[in-house]
Amino acid sequence: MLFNSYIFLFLFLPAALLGYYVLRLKCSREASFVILVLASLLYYGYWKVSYLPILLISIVANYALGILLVKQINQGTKKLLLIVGIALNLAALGYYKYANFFLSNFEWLVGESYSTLNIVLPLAISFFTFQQIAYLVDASKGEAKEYSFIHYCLFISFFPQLIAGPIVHHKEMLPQFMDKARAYFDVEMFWQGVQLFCIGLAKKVLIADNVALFATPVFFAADSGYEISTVAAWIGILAYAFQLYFDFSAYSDMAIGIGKMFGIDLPLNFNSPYKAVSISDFWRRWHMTLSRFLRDYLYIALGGNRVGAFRRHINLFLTMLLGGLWHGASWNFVLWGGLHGSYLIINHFWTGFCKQNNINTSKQGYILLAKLLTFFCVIEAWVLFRAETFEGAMALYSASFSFDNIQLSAILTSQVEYVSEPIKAILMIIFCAVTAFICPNSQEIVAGKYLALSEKGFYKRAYYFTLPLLLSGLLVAAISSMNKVSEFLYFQF
Amino acid sequence: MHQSIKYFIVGFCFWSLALVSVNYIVDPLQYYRLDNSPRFVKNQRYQIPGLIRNYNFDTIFVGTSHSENFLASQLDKFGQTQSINLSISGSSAWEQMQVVNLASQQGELANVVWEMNYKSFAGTNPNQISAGKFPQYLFQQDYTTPFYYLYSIDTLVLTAKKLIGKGIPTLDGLNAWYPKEKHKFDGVHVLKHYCSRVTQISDKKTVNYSEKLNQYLLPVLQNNPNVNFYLFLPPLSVANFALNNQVQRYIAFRKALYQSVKSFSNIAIIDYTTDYGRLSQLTNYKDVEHYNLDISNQILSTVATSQVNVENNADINKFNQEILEFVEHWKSENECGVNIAYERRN
Repeated sequence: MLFNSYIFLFLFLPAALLGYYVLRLKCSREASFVILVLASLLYYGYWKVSYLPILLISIVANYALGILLVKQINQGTKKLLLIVGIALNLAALGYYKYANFFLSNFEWLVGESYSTLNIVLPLAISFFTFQQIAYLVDASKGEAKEYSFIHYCLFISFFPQLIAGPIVHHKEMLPQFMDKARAYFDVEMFWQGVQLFCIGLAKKVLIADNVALFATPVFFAADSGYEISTVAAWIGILAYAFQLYFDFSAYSDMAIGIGKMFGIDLPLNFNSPYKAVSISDFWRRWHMTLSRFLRDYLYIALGGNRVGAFRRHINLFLTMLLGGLWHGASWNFVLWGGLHGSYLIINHFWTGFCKQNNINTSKQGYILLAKLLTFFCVIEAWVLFRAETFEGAMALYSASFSFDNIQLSAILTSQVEYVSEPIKAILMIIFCAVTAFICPNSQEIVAGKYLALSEKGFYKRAYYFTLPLLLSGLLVAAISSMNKVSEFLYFQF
Repeated sequence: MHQSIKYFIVGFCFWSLALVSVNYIVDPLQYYRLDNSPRFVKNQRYQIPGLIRNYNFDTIFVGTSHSENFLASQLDKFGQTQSINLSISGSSAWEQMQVVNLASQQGELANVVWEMNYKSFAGTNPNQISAGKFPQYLFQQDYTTPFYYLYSIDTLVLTAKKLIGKGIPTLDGLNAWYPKEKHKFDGVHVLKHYCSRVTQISDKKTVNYSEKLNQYLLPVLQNNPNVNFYLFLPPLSVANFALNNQVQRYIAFRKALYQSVKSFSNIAIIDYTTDYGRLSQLTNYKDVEHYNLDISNQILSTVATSQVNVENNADINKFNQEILEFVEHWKSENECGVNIAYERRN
């Protein structure tokens, strides 16, 4: 069941909201949480019932281990329990997500062939495994409390964030479930949720899915060994960069929006990443909750920046390498992570150089150049992320820098192979670029940051009247484009 | 209730009603009613369901751009048929199956002229992906179809185009591309096209054609025992087959096709790839694949005189060996940069 499907919009979400608020107002808050957990399990099981036991076992086992860790006083036992917990989680993740990858690499090493394991990757396993590892680590440090089982279940399974994040932290979720101030229906928060959901749905259906039409054939052709022209390669690369951004940030907007409808705040996951002025800045803006997890539970655990400059860079590189592998069992993801690790190391050297030489990095010209360079580095790395084969990625790199046979007439007469309507593609890319580089992001729109005029009198009325009308129009446009449903890209991770 | 939520709900109802009303009144795909002065929508994937619902026919043409130049009037002249061309440029076999299924549900279908293009059954042509999304809801024809059709921004775009007079005035114009490309039928063009593609790395993915035929062709033949199917193998030029592994793919497909359909009595296979003289006459082509109107008309005249339920004794292994040798011979005589005085620039 996708957020951008009729069954979710017209059946599941209204029923879940109705059940949740009726129970909250007529029975108790705990009863409303029970219905929300059941709804979340239904949502997860709807993809494939056979996934459900894996999620349930993972929740129960980690909850039990968490309780043991919280209650345990002996540090040695705590450490042992933590190692067991992390090992079990990683073993499950390794088996379901990486077994065939390791097997194929082993085959390549020994030069023999074995039959591949028939394993179906359970949806969202990377997300719920990370959340629970973080919980176990904090429980062992005494930074997590003993939570009620229902609250814990909701923390892991809460359906808006279950499939593709944001990767939530127990410290930001579980206190909300116990906060009495949140026990009542907050109409303002609900309205914010509706706004975010509408914007997210429109981003997914009206922008991401349409720009994808120009990326998919180019990458498919490259992976299949067809020759790609420079123009087609750049259209494909840029289209994918925007497809991924609008697709994934749309999912996050919708997840946060639905969370707000239920009176629950989910953490921000995107903050206009293509406006970043450096790679470090990019990772503070892109998939922020994954960056936070990698920083807090991997980079710092490896020693972070407390172990000298050289080790720090090694740690950084390793963190990004594993971050790449987290996205999928493929060498392309590892290379993508490695590339970003290298970017970050270069970024740190450059920052140090600028400080030493008193280079003014706040000049407009520098910022513009830095933004363009960062964007260029990011989109080049996306090629590895998107291509299904290494050869496909290399073919795209080669085509994009060959600058052969670039003919304006080919664009004007729609004769760019693998791009059905090149002019439309270019206009779409320009629209996406303007939206991503210049416009306020969805959180800023909902917060009214750019609507200072709305504070008084006529403008205030216009704002309260116009914005809902515009958003409802956007929602109708999005729903009326949903007759060709497509999945979110981050579901595969 | 929050004032903004009230406005939001009112806005949602207003926009929804406006969208549905405008789309219903204009009905750009002629889904509900025939248009007296029609403006056909260029995207065949969208237009075809409306044609099937509202036009009378007993014979349909199904295929890709290789079938687009089949003029219904031409076939109707040969036989006592009422034809309509339902080809979709760059279509996959799955899409073609949807077209035949819908047409067969609508009434008096007697004949299907179906292009058996091995590329449609391979499903690996990237241009097929870029050709556009497939509006499956228009082909399902159940109680949800009106909702999907009317509550659709795609339909609204078509409505707007129709209101400003955009569209194609004739059915033949909807498909036939030969008038626009007339000047390009020229052997030099074909060889240029061939040489621009010959160095490409071949598509290594193997295709199980028997499986594809089982999925997309045989169920249609089984479900329509009273319909005659004229399955024709389009005469793509020798230059097409000379590209990389194309001839190997083709012979695998042809063998699978002959074997898959031999138990059916409602089919006739029209193989236009055994006339090697025609395949190597490159002046009849505008690129390595697309043939001119004369060849299209010849195919139709053959279809008009073909009979179904005639035992097919074609020695497919012999045919396959012949085309393999023919293509290899042509390749040895037409080497880019050697025998062909053309330098690749890209």
